[in-house]
Amino acid sequence: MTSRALQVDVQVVVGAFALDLQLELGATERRALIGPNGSGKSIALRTLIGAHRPNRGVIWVGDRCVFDSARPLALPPEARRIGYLPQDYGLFPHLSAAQNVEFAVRSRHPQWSRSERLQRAVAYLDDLGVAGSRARRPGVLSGGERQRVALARALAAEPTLLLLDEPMSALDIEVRREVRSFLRQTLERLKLPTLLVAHELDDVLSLADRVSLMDKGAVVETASVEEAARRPPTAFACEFWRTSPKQEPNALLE
Amino acid sequence: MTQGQQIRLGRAMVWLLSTLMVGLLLLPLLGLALSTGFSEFVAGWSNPAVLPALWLSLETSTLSLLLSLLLGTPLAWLIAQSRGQRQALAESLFKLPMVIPPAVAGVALLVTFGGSSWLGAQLATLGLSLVFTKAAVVLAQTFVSAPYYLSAAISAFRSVDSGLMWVGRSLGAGPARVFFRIALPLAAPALFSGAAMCWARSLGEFGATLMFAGNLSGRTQTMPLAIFTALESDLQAAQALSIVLVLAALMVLFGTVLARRMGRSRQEKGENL
Repeated sequence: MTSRALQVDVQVVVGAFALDLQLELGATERRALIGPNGSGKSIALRTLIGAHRPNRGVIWVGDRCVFDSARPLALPPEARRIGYLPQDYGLFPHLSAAQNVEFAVRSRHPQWSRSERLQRAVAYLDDLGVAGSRARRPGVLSGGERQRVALARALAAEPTLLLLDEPMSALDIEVRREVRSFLRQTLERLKLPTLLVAHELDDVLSLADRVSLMDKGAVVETASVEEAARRPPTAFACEFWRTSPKQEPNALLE
Repeated sequence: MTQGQQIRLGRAMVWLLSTLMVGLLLLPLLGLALSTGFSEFVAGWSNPAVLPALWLSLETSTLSLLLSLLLGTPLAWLIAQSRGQRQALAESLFKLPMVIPPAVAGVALLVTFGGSSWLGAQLATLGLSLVFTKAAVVLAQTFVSAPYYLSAAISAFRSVDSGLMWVGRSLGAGPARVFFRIALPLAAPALFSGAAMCWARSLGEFGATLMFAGNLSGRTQTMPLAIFTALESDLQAAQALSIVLVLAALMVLFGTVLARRMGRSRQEKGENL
């Protein structure tokens, strides 16, 4: 048993974009991926779930190898046990909240009856405080409720790693603070290793403990949140941390 | 002419041309309905060719629809999943039977499957012959109507967000479960209207059927062929059959509108468990 949750070293080509990703995540680590638009953050997440096939490299999730170009081995997405929330949360619009979660419960418990699976699905919804929305379709849920349902659904598939692609970007500005603090509490409670793409300084500060800066398809720096803010290596990072290399950013951070 | 007069004249022109278009589209249908009184409609059914043609049409168009659904759905899924120029070329190639004249379709079917063709000869050694059979009717109908379903199904599957399908996979579902639980239900309203158009086209198929399957009453004489035949001898029978076909067409149109509306409201709101 290793203490890392994720170890990635892959090269992926998607269209004209080349991703050269090296990343290692600790067992309960929450890592933020930041970087300018087009630096490959979302492609990195989609590569991990198996939507893009790397040209070469290895991906380990915990102590399981899910991709190795040398063997060759490429587990299909359904066998990787990686929870993934896209920017818009990816809820199935024709299914109720409970049916959305039941879809994931069924993967782990195919032998259960439909009512047993729905019962478990409602328990997951209840755990995140949205059991009241069980019969409603995603189209009538608020942004915050959608995020909770999507999170409940991802958890119902019992993942060993959680990927969140800009979890706040689909929300109205006014509700972000509240949703963010709920998400923070939930992630801290779950103790599930998490890799999240972030665009806002506030998201990184409250949701992550370490941060990787991406540029042109590669990770250029990884550090703790405090450290990264102290010495931003690129122009983008300076702007992101709302500081400049000459200033003393600690004061800004507090 | 003042500016106000110009605007009024322009508006009058638009109304005039629009009215002519409406007249052109609806007048023949109105004429058919008005000239076929209830007694003519009933009398038309006494022609011995009418009922067999009706049943044959229902049977063959339903079979051809089932064939299009069974074979067309997987192909549409394959094409919708792929991208690039080859896929675009394939897609327009499959749409060709929609565009070519029915007479050409008839010739093509005849020289490919007919008795004097290589395929026809192979079938003959097995004791089978397609020409002048019910199977030939179904084949002709499917050839011209399947592309209607195919093109609707391709765009239906393509409009399903591929992100949803990757999320479905990441939740532990295999490709089959993602297809049946996510892609198919989301595409269903568009698939339904494609199927309705396909069925309507089969029901109305005339040229290719006439040339490839012939016009044998009770065996290959579908409703459009019966109308064509009755036109010379029994106008009332032709009218009765025409009314039936118009009603079927109306049903298809209302059905597709209803399906589209249902699909929209299903995604926007509603509760279910």
